[in-house]
Amino acid sequence: MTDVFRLLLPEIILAGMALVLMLMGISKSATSRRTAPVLTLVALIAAFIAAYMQTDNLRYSGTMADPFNVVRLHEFGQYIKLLTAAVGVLLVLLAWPSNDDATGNPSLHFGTEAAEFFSLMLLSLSGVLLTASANDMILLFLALELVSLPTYVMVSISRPAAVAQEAGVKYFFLGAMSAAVMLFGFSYIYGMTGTTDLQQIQQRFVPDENGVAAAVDPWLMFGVIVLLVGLAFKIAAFPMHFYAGDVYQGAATPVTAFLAFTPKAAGFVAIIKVLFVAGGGVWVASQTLVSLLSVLAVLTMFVGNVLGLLQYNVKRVLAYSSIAHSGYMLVGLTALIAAAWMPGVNDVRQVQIDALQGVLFYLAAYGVMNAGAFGVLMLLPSRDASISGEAARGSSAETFEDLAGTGRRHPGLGLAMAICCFSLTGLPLTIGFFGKAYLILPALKAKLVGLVILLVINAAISAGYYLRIVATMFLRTEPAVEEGQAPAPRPAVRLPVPVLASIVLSVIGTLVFGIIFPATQALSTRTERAVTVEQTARPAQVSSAVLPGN
Amino acid sequence: MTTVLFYIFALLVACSAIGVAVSRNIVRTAVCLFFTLTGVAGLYFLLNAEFLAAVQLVVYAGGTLILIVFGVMLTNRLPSAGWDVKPWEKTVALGIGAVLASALVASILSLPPRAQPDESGAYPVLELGAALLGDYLLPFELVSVVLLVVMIGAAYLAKGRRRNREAQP
Repeated sequence: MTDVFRLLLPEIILAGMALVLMLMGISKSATSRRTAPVLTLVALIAAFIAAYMQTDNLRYSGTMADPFNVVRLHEFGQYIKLLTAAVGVLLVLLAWPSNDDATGNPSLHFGTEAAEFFSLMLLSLSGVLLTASANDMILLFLALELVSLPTYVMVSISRPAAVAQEAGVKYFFLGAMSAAVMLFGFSYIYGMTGTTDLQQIQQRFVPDENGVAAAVDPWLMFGVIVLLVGLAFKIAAFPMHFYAGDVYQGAATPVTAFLAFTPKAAGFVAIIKVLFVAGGGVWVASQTLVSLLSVLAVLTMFVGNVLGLLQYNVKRVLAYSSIAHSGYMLVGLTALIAAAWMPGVNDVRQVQIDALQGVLFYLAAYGVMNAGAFGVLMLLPSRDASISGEAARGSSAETFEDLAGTGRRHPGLGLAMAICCFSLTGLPLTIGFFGKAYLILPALKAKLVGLVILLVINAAISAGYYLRIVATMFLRTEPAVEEGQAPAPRPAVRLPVPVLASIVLSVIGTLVFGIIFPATQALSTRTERAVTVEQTARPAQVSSAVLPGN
Repeated sequence: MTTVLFYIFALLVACSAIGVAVSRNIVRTAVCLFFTLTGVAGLYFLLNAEFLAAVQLVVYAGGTLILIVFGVMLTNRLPSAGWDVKPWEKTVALGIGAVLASALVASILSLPPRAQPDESGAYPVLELGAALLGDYLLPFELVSVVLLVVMIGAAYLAKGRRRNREAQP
């Protein structure tokens, strides 16, 4: 059993610290509230180190599993763990309580329950880590729910405004529905295969010698499709994207940043795992899945970007843009499973590696630039006079009005926002550019020209609203004061150090990976290794590579 | 003996099911439902499906029914208040009931004349326990973490609501 503990050490660190924090929550002193985020950071860094320590073992054996084969760790999973812990640090810094009694920060107000708030955050992050190492349908489902359940609570308690309550309720009900859809898919897969072990299910999908996808029972395929649709909720992709606008707007900005990364990472990890299984371990999935994914990708991109253009609220703009980013990554996944099908593709394996590498790279890029954009947004004050009293706590800039002219008043924040927006658009010299390039190149090699053209069109549409954010901050003047009225008092901008640290880190990350090519290369090498191990982890080799000592 | 018990349980299920449908009082409906569910559990026992019977008692009679009663308590100000059934609702309900009943009768008629208890001696509870503490130990433990999150979250939200209400008298 020590093996399980060794395998899941990062998860155990996070969940253990979450329990400690919950106990700390009993004390209502401001000291305990100030310690909670520090302990959260310590746990995340410890989890990062613990995951990193597994590198040698993984490189040596390729994969590690527990005796019951419920958990199986590849370098793919390790990459996700490192990424989640690192972005988790940025997200915790964003939510750092900074006011005098440590009950919140400029845009977040969780009252006296700081310890519980950070504990929920840690549990959600540990769910992503578990998703990355799950090799059993039951564990996969529970891990995905562990990601989502804390976020429902985090949304409703993140600020005392009614919109947050509304967002929490909406998120909870739609999330419960998506979980039901997912379970429906799982039940069909279990019913047709009689096992919950993903590796054994994968045997059903192994293609024949000519590389033609296995002919599977239609009900089994139905289960996989339903499962993918259920997972679309986690990544806010088309048929399940409705909640994004309301929920992202209603939640306090740091929580929105959390929602835009954490469930999305878990969802993509799960989708990649499902595609790996449905591709028989060599990414040769049936034509049905290829067309399904490409349709989902196109609709997700267009829905996200077109609705993003129409928004008045900047948080909603970022919400719809996060839908669009899921669409871009779905293009990468389509290239991944289409490579074996499209005629005239040279070196299918390399294209598959590149495609998955692109998706993993984009996930990292998105996590970094997203934290920066939300961080700037939360530091700018809201101008909405209708918010006052208790509700004013935990409200920061939301609309374009709020942003007008702020870039000239706070050049630093303005520049940071500009860099993040340029990166989200995909302009050169930023990590976003390489992210899109790594998605487009394999898709081109997989002969998905149509999809690539649509992706580029969408990137152009997204430039419309991203540049509008930047233009509003720098070019628009602040709203004029009407004659005869006293000028409204300028809301003071407080700049908490941890939030600034998070913004600076993400801006540096955005630029370093965008300008210094060796850094980009280093990150993409890491993703490439993650991909190759997942690729080579065929059942035959895997069974002999269980951890030594069991 | 088994036959006598079967008819007793069957009668219990049938009568209390009619009671569920006919009663105008929601608390009485819930009590009748309890007897229906318990009777079905008894039928499972007669078929040597002990585990299924236990789950039926624990989940349906113990859990779901208590939830229903709690729901009635928390939402309905007057638990004894009945409700009016409109004629069209009655028609629709009768129609659905008739379709369901005919489907059930048809499927029962297509089965072999009498369901035989499983005499193979396999004891599923033992295997289930072994699976829960063996192959599925980790998911089993993870369930406890997930339930903890749910519990803490629910307590947290309920507390938050009280706090808000105090803030705006």
